[in-house]
Amino acid sequence: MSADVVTADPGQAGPAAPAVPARTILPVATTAATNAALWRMLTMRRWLFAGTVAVLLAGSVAGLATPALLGVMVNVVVEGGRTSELVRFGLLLLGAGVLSAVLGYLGQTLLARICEGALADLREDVLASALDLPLEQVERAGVGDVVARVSGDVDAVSEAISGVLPAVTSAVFTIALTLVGLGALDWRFALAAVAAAPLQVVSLRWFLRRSGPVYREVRVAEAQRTEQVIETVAGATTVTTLGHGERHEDLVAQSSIRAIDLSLTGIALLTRFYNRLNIAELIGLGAVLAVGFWLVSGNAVTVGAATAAALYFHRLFGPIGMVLGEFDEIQKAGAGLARLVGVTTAATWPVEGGGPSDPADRLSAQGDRPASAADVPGPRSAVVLRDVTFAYSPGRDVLTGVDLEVAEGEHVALVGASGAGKTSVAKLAMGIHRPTRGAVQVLGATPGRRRRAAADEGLPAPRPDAAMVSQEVHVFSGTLAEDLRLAAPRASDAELHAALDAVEARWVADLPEGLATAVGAGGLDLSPDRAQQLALARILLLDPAVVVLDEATAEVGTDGAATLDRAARAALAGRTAVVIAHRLSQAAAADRVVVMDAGRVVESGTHDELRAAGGQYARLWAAWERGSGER
Amino acid sequence: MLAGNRRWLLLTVGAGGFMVHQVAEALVPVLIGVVVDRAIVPRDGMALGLWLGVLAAVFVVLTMAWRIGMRSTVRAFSFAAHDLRRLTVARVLDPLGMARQRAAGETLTIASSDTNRVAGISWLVTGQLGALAAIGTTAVSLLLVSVPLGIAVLVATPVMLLVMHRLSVPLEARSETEQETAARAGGLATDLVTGLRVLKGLGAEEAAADRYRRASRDSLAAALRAVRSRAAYQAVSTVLSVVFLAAVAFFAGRMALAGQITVGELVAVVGLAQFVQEPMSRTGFLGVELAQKRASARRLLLLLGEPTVHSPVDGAASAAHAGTRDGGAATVTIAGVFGGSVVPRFTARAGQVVGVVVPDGGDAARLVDVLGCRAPAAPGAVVVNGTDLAALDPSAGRALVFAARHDASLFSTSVRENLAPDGPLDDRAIDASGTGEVLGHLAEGLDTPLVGRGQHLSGGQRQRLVLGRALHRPEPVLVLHDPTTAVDTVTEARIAAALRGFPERALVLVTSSPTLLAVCDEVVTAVAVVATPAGTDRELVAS
Repeated sequence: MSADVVTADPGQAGPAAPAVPARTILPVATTAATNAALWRMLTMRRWLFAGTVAVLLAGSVAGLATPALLGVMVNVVVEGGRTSELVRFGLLLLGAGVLSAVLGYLGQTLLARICEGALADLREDVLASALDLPLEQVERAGVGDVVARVSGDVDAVSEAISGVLPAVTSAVFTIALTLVGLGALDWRFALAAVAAAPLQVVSLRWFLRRSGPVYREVRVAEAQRTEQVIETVAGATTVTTLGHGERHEDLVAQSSIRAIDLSLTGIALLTRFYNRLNIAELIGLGAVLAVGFWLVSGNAVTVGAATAAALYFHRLFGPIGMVLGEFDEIQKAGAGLARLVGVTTAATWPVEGGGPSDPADRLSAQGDRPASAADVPGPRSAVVLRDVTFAYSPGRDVLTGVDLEVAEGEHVALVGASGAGKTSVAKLAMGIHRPTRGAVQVLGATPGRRRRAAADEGLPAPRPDAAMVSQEVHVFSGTLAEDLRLAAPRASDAELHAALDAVEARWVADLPEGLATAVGAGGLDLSPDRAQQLALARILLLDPAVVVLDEATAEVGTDGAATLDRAARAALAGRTAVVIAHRLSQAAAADRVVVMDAGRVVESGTHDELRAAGGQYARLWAAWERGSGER
Repeated sequence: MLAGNRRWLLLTVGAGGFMVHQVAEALVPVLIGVVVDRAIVPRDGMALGLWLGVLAAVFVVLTMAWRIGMRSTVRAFSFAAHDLRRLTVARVLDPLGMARQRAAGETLTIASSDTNRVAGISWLVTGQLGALAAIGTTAVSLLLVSVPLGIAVLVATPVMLLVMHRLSVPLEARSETEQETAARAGGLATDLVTGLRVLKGLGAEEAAADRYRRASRDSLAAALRAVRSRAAYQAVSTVLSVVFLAAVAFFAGRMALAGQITVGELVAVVGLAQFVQEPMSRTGFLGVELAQKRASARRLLLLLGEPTVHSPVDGAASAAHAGTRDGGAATVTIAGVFGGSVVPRFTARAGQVVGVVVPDGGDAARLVDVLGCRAPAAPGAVVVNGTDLAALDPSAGRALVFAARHDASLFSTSVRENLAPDGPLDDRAIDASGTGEVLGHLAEGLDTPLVGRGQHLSGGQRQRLVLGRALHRPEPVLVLHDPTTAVDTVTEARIAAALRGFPERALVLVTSSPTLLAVCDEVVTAVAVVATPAGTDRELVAS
């Protein structure tokens, strides 16, 4: 039973290299940075902290009076004292006990206020920082890495802070003061007690060295088991449809057995560690008793003192086991903390490419190009892509020399195969990515610039100029009203209802609790088309000038698709829109259709012009029309 | 697999280990008293050596018994949890289905935490038996020292246990609230980050952070309340035990003064009185622990006892029809009411592509569930190669028709294993589904593992892999439900054309996409059932 037998590489469990950009997880803070952050949190509560330490100390002193008074009572007996003395010391014992109980209560609650308060501040900081990260960076790190930090690491740190830290803190106080108490009886008692320390230190180091890797593997194996159970249970319908029931039962059983085997290895180490601690206890207790014998024989101390010393040491068994046993919990929490502090310092915004600070200058600086849209009379351009080239990784251009202008209030549909660059155009317009070459402007400014400038100055973010509904439907867990108010925190119930009516979400009226109905994970499961209606209602509430729409409608049926098309029209009315078309009916309804292929714009014009032109769009439309006639 | 009686053996050994360990722990203060009595007070060096030797022996027993108890209990717990997990998963995957579909999250909680909690009864049993052994040893030791003291402890113990139990009941509610609010805040954080792209699309980062802040503050308040009540419980139990200790010390001291017991016995008595607090408070929590486990056990039993969707069909009769998974010209005839829609009778033969338009999305899903044997078919509604699907058991039916749900899952294996888990890859299926283009984006092509069930792929990429998997299936009848909703219009047109290239199969497309319908040999459209008296549906079909 040794850890060396296990050869699986936990690194293999990491997320796979994704499609285009290389995966770079978010940074982990250094020990120094983590300690600095911890210190900042403690000093924010300086007085509370000092008070808590004082109360905990006083509580430990009062607790220590118990074995001391028991020793005194033994002395009274040995020296043939009077019953009244026993009464006095018995009452003192009672008083000290009650005092230690009261101080213990105060100490625990004060400590919790510090720790839990700091923990709450930290997790809120971490989440706010995670949400503020540039999307590009999040995609490179993988959403999984961010989720693991805001949930898994926060849980691990909370568990340590609420579950382990208070007990360990008071144990440390008890140990320290008991040693002081032993020394007060006679310095040689303290020396005897310390005889246990070398074995304890050696055992702890032995345990941590071996348990670290084993526990890591146990955690990996348990995570794999959980992942396998999730996969099988969440995909149960698909599993049975494929006829793979038995196969998946075996997969779950295998992952479960593997986790058990590893955890048994861990338990074997743990029991050996505690065996050694028991031996250390024996050595310490034996030494204290022997010293007591020797000192009593030499009349250096009383029998009562020797008794008190033995009882002191006996009382230490629990606290020492607690501190040493939870040591790795604390270490784990430290690792989690470093990952959390890492998130708060992670954000790296793309550097504005060295050119003139006003992006409008960059457009006009390209002298050989035709004059920018602003110079042309007529409707102003809301979205401008000028000679844009873009690559996720150097040398692999996904867009080459794209020129696109969308006039204010114009609706443009993008049509093209996957990989043609439609989504890249949308992300550039949203400011999620920066062009490798060329310039992008939304309402005359680099997208996202105003918001970031506000953030830099610590001002609340202004309403965004552009908003995007992506293919990814996500209903946020919470009430329906909370979901909608993400877009407009101050919207009244009447405004929410108006937005829902506009996107024809009539089903809301049938919900028993209306806007207060819980939706999303753990709540009412909304069908994809209803989720899309919510997404469109959010756009109405947000009221941006420019909308990018990449909505795919899944499992909608004919009726649903028509409803969604009307809802989208309502949400886009009066706005500039770039629509990535998944149904050609969306393209037909747009003011202009832009066909992309292999990172270039290949056709551009109204629906009728392109049909007449007989190109790629005309062929697509012909097939679509034939199918529509079939119904 | 371990046999059931082996499990009982593990549990018995575990309990035995913990009991012996607790007895030995209780003997430590007794031995301290003996050392004071026999060695220190009479200043007897020989006795000191002897009794320290006995102390060492007790420690060896103590530590080895704990080791045995710990290892056996961990085994008993782990294998019990393992068995329960297996049972749960087997029930969820039963081909006969579950009458009540639970949300995936609910089933997951049952399969992961509830199974662990119920298996945790192993810890409860061995730990509580250990605590009882400790209390028993203390009482017996005290009885041996002095009958009145022993009786006093035996009387005081149940009284204290009762008081502690009463005090611990409200703790349960508090810490449940604490865990709930913490879980809510944690769930919200996960949810917000999962929907990060949507949040960024709305510029709603601040509003989201504010929402989390509120949940986090609620969680903080609940945590502080729980800590306060835990600390209060601890304080009260400290006061109780100190009263107990002071009383024992006073009475034992008076007896020692009167010469009824020795000094060492006095030391042993107060040592024992100190020692017994921990096992007592552990036993005081028994009620709370049991209540937690009862709730988990109830959920688990409900799931395991869930009725099936299909009633089991006579296996032999069913198997007789089920021989045509591969080859043989397939013919499927479908007609009837599915949910609130009537599908007119149509037949699809091998090599044909038939489109079915069901305007109501829910009814379309219902039709696909019936074809995939996830919902029972009405007699005569679906006939495959002359066999009524309603007469087959679900496994036999699935050997004839493959009909996955629109939102079918991918699995975290490699792309290759997802596409063709049972056989070689088929280039035709890969080309037709547009999977080739997806592979170009994956670092390791076909060998790329789909970590997190393909969640790092776009919706369109996932949909093409799911379609590619369906086209790899050997069943003679293939039903596809809206297979191209997430792909772009150009790719959809390519896929539509390529779906005609599977002459050995009868293909049914449940869709409303004109591009797909354009390539069908025949298109039927379902009509909504008008509110008519029952039994007139057939006339509606006829009209």
